[in-house]
Amino acid sequence: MPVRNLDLPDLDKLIEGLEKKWNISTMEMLGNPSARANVPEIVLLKWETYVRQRLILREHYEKLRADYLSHIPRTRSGNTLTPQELSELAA
Amino acid sequence: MDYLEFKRSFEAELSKLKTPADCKVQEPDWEPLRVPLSWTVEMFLEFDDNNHIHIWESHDKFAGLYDSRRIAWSYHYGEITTRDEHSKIVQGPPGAPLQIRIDTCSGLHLHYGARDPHYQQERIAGLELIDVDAFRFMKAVFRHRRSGKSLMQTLGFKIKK
Repeated sequence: MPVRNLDLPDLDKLIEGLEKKWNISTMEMLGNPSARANVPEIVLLKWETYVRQRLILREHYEKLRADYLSHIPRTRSGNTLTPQELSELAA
Repeated sequence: MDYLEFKRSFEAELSKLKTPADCKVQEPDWEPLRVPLSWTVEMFLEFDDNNHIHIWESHDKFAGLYDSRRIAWSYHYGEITTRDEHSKIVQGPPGAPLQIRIDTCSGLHLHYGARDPHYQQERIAGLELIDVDAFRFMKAVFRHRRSGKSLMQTLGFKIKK
């Protein structure tokens, strides 16, 4: 059975595609009843789901990254991380 | 239940479904997230008289990744209005004709015979909309088509005035 695994770039593309197709922004889709009225309900449901899934994945990756950062040693081979390294990790 | 368990269970139930001779089932399309914390399933069943059933559900994981819940859904039965370049049924326009739809867009409600009005649960007697799942919906449509009874009768509800 057809399976399509979605990651953040896929969700971004899907959401962007819906915005273009229906000529409204995601913010309008979420909060403007008159804009929503021109879009089939099933499309609204899918659109809302992509937005929710994007948030779920962002939160997941953010948590993963925070966990990673909390476990790396502050020093390597006795040397403290350079300011540039710290800045890169925090980005 | 996680994504793989859900998919296995859904497909097992689908394989047991006794579809009428005039019904063709399009394979379900699955869209899980790469990290399977959330997924959707969508499928179409096409009848020879140009009607169809459209099933769509979205599920998320919660409670420490061990449980999932149905978050949003749409179960639609009505005329086919739109196909893609491969003749696959696709979603029609907002006002596409329908015989019945139960969906959660802006809150759980039912459409009966037309897009408007939207009947919220308080207008429905004899049926808890939240208890209708994809397979119960499909079986009710099959019974309706086989028996000639209305969908209201096969699903066992009335609309309050």
